[in-house]
Amino acid sequence: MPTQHNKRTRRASSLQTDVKPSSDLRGRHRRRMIVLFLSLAAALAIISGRLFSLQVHQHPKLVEAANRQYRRLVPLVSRRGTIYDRNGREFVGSLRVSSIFAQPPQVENRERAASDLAKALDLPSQKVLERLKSDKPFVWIKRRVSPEEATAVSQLGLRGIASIAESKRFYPKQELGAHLLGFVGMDDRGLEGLELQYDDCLAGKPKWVVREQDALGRPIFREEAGEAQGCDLYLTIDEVIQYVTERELEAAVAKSQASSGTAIVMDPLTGEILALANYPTFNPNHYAEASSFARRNRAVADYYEPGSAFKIVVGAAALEERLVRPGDRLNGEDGAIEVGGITIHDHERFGIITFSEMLAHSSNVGAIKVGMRLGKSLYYDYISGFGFGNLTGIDLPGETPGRIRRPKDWSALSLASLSIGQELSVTPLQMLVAVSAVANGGTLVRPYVARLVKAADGRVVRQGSPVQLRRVITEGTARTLTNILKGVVTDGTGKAAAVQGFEVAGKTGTSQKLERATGRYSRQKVVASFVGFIPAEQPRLAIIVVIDEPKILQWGGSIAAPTFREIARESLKYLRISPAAGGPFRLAEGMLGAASRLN
Amino acid sequence: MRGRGIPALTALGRDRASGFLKPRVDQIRRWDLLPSLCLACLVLFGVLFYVWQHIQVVRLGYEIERLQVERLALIRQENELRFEVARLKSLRRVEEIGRRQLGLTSPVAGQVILLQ
Repeated sequence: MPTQHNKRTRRASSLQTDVKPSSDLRGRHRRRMIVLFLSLAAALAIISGRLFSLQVHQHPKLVEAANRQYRRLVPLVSRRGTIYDRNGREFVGSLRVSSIFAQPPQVENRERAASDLAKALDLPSQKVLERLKSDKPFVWIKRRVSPEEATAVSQLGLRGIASIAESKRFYPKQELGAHLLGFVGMDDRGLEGLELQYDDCLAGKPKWVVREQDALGRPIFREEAGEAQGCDLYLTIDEVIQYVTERELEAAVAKSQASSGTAIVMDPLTGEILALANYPTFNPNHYAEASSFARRNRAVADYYEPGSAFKIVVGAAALEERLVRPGDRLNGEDGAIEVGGITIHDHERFGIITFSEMLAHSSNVGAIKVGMRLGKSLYYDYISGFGFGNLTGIDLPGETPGRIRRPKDWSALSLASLSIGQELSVTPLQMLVAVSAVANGGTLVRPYVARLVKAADGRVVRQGSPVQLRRVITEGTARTLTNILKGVVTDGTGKAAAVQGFEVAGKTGTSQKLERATGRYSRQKVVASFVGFIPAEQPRLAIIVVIDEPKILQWGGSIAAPTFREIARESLKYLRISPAAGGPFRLAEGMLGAASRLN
Repeated sequence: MRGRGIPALTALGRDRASGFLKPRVDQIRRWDLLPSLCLACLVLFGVLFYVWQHIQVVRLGYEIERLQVERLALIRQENELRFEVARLKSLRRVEEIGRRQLGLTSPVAGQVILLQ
């Protein structure tokens, strides 16, 4: 029993010891659980705090950093707008070409690289080497290279040599319309002509687009932006008439061995310039190779003394003021008249001639007598009224207003000189605009070249339209003067301007040039010109031809008038204007209304 | 008898006791977990769909970028060809070919009849 009791006692005590450790364990478990819970809670709190810091406090900074990493603002090089003729034929456009550059510090074996590059780009090796030895981090090797040259350089695989895309202006018609179109510099900005006049619009604004890229910098997305592009320009110029004008002018200059020449063709009703040519000319694709003289747009930037062609103005003024009628007789004084102590001669001796004959045969004496009837003030008003001494307002850069002194500055000889187109300087365009006023029934119109300016999205930005500046003579005077000017071509000095099947009205001019050194008129140097319109009764074209310093065929009637004829004949044929289309001239209804409102 | 009363008081006894109840409890828990499992699957599916769609968008982005580059190259090529045509249609060149190679001349007066 004691043994059994002892066993029981031991078991009981062992039971007691068993129960005791179990409660310790539970306590320990609980503590562990609490520690674990607190640890997790602390960790969670730390994570939450960090998340709060990242998501709230640092949010803007981190978003910006992320955007910097995968979003990039890339520039879109603006493509300069295209210039078209009035029928939508391309005159000028832009092409994407490569330009080769070097990063000299990265170039290995510069002598070898220079030699290879020089061969591929057709450049002097020494020049390339100099550039590769530069301390600068970036140097141009050759800009706007041909696709073949770009491929050749790429195949060389030279380290530190790469290419970049640039825009290059391309003039597919080469010399055609060069003075009108002008040209652009290396930075693709207009330097002359319409390229300069409409530079802001043609160049367009550089565009920036957002591009998303991956870690390797490869583009993933790009905002749909297309190509950045400037405005397109639609001209009043007709490619065919421009070509004919340039061709005939070049032939006239060559034939007369002249130093230069200018010809302009205009619609006398609207002021639209259909052609404008100067010779010598240049190729705008290689403008740097041309002289500044060849690049000069002499049609608007240079002036000359118009000579007898200006008798149109004195005639218009006298007829308008009813100081003379076409049949009135004038004494030709046997071809000489003395004014202010100077004797002025005619090219031939005239006796008694009518006013019409005076203009047809270009009598200086007769014109001076008519000018005297007008008087200084009245004559000056008409000269100014026809636009001389002021800009015509054509949308071309570099226009000059010409030179005309005020009556108070005139000498005793001035009125006589001005009656025969001396002592004043005009531009060929001014002269053409004045004659166009006679052609269209007496309204001075503003010439213009840009017919339409269209944005890249097809929206019309600017539309050129006929502008009537003022009425200078009545329709009756214009009609009378037109009939007289027809006589110049049928019976007078401008016979060579006659176009078979059409009536031509116009006036020749041959003026001596003033020698700057002596201050006297030269005996050898002259300016020969012809200005007129066709068909005389329903004018479609007003044309002026000015030949400067012809060495042979020095008269306006012998060199400028035939050139007028050829330009007119070809242009009328191209425009499908037949002799049957003739009829009494008149302005369009809208133009007449606008002209009367201006008066 | 020895093992019936005492084991209930020991840890071993508790384990044994709970061993009898285990199958029933597991059955109940299995059915309880089903909605959670479905939910987890849905969430997983949603996440996978989101990732798949994102990958697709990126892949299409690369494709669009490649096609855009190709399109621009074609536009440039078309532009170049247009100007090449304009150059070839230059009246000076055409007239020269007409006169020199084809022996053409300008029609004189009388040879031109305009049809109205």
